[in-house]
Amino acid sequence: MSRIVSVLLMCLLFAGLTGCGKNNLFGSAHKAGSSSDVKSLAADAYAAFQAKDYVKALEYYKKILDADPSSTEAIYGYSSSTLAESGLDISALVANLVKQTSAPSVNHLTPALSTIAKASAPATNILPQSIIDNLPKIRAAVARVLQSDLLPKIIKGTADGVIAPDSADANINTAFCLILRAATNVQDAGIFTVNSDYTFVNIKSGLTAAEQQVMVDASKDIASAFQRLKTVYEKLNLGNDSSVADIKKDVDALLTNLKSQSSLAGVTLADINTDYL
Amino acid sequence: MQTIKRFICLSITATLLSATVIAAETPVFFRGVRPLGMGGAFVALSDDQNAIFYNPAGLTQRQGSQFVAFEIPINISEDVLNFYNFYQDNKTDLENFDKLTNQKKIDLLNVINDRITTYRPRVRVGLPNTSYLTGNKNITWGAGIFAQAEIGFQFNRSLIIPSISVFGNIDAVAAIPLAHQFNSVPYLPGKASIGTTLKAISRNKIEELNKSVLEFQNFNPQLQSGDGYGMDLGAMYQPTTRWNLGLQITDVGGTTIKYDKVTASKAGQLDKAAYTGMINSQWNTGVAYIPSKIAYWPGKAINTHDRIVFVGDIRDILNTDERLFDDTGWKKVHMGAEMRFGPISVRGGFNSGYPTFGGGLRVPYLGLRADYAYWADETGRFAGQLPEWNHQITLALSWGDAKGRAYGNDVKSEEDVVVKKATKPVPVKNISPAPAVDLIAPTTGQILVPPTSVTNPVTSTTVTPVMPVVSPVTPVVPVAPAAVVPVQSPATATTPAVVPAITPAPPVAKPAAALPDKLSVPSAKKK
Repeated sequence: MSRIVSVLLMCLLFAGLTGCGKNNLFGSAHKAGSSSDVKSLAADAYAAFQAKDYVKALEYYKKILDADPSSTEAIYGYSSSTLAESGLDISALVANLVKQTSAPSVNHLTPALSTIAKASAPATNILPQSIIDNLPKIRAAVARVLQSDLLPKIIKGTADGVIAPDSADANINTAFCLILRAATNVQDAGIFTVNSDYTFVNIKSGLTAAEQQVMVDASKDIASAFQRLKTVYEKLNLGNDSSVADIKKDVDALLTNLKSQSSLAGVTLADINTDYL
Repeated sequence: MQTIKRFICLSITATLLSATVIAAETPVFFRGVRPLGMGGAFVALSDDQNAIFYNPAGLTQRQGSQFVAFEIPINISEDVLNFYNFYQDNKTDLENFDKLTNQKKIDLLNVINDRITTYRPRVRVGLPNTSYLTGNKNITWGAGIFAQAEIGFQFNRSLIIPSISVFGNIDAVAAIPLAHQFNSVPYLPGKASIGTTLKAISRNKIEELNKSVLEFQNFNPQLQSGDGYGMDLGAMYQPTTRWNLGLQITDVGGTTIKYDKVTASKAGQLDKAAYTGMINSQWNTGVAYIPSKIAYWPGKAINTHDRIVFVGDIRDILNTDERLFDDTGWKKVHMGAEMRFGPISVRGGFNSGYPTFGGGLRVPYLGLRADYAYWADETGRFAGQLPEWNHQITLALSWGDAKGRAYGNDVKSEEDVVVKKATKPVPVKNISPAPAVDLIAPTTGQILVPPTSVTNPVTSTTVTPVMPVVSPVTPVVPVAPAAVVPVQSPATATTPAVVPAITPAPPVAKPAAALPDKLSVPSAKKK
């Protein structure tokens, strides 16, 4: 009898445990976002980000930044959530970049990004419709993360330094955001388009003062992106065969071509070596 | 007593001081497959080689020596299997990625982005661990050499370009546990033990966190080597032979690991400066209970033969960052149980609230042992936030396992021996009237009285002579063999004053449901 009961008890133990599935017994003890403690909010925000609940992640990161505006981790998390929430389709971007690099004559990253607004030119548009559909939101998100209270604060070293100003990850991603902003702004203004060899086509003649300002801002963004990549390149002592080195060359070429355009005579960009961030 | 107070004050101070160190190291902690199956709770049980890391004071419970050789734990996180399954499911597409249509590429990358970035694959393999423990002696001691290698990685979505974190340790520890048992405790019943584990630690570490995938093209992981010495303390109080209360203080005062400088030798590498890491001290408490019987129906119970043990731990109770009396406290709770049927063990429990399973099989004469555990660790701040599910298989050659406290009929508690000896001469059929008094029910305190007071026993008048009721609760009073007076026997109840208080009940065919199944245990040992 006792053996039967023992076996039944064992079965009951298993049934009880398997009934829980993978749920946590105390899972309801903590309500996400309920605490005002920064560490708790950071944990909740990260969990929401991992669960791809970007709206919640933004809400929690915002609370942290309200309490501690210098938190680099919160700045980075808020920026990541902002871009993710805007619908920036990383998979589509990477897929198209892979396609770009697979083609023998088209192997550069920067023009790939610069064609983000070329919905009317499918032959050179490497971005999928999913990104183009979200373009206004993506453009706004990129502009937001590059405002002075977010990514530039990390790069300039005016935040808490937990993410170092020379962090390769932060610098590479900031460089991409800068290039994205430059390309979308210029494209949006309809001033010119860039082909895959970094030569400018369809440059509008007789730029107005406002259009010239767009060009100046775009040039500054590209120069700043160059500085970000230079920082990574030098810090990691990368060789010429590295991806970062290739991208740095691309950005350098883009800026050089931009400056050489006769129609941009009014652009007052000083030098590529100036960090305008 | 003054010494104990001073020790506690010093330990608390050292813990708080060590908690202020910012660059904390992860503890060098060899988690046993048996505790893992029981929800990670083991501080108050600690009756095998795992006691070296969970609570050295528990070694005094052992009835004999134990030798473990070639203990090889293999632990993989479930995400390793998920990763492997993903690869198997998409093997063809991944190998022919360039030939896929753009939409298929996007679909595949979406799967990677959605699934892979949530994975945290991790593998831990123990190098053959070896340990030896003596039985309970004036100074119970042991020695062990343990080593394990762990490596894991995680993709992070980041801003635009994803990043990867790679982390791993190769730990080696030479440990010497020492323990002593006090057979009496001032003002309290039962026994107490104290113990310590002295540790020499060597750690080789890889820690490359949030590296951009573009950096990874030039990734050359660098091992940074460090070593240090540490000490754990443990205490165990046994108010009865069935209850254990445990306390463990790991890395007393904080264990420092001094790392050597590593100079970058390749492109993409950075110099790693020499530094001193600190393993913060933790205070862990636990309780263990080995019931003599379990009631499964009113009036019905099974004798466990000591084959079941329940354990519960609260770990890191003094952590000021993740407080015990806050939402973070639930993460510290571990509880579980183990049932043994000869060479087979079945375990279950909750590790920070996540269900755990485990089991083991041992071949006694050959010394072969195989154990398995499935559990989840909480990698977030709160219970239920970010689980990491794990499988672990441990193979070992081991002799002397059965001399631990919670190994079923192999070891008998003193209390059972005493009660059984006392009840042996009493024929059950002579019991009339049949009181519903369990021999080892809570009323035992009134039953077991010194011989001098037998003539005036303080017997509870609330004892109700109904059908025998079995309580799973064990006695709390230490037992002296000569003092046992089983009240079921009218022959020994010399004072009639007790009898009127018990209303006669109808004769019961089997009145002694609470009696042990076996009335004699000739092989049982007494300390």
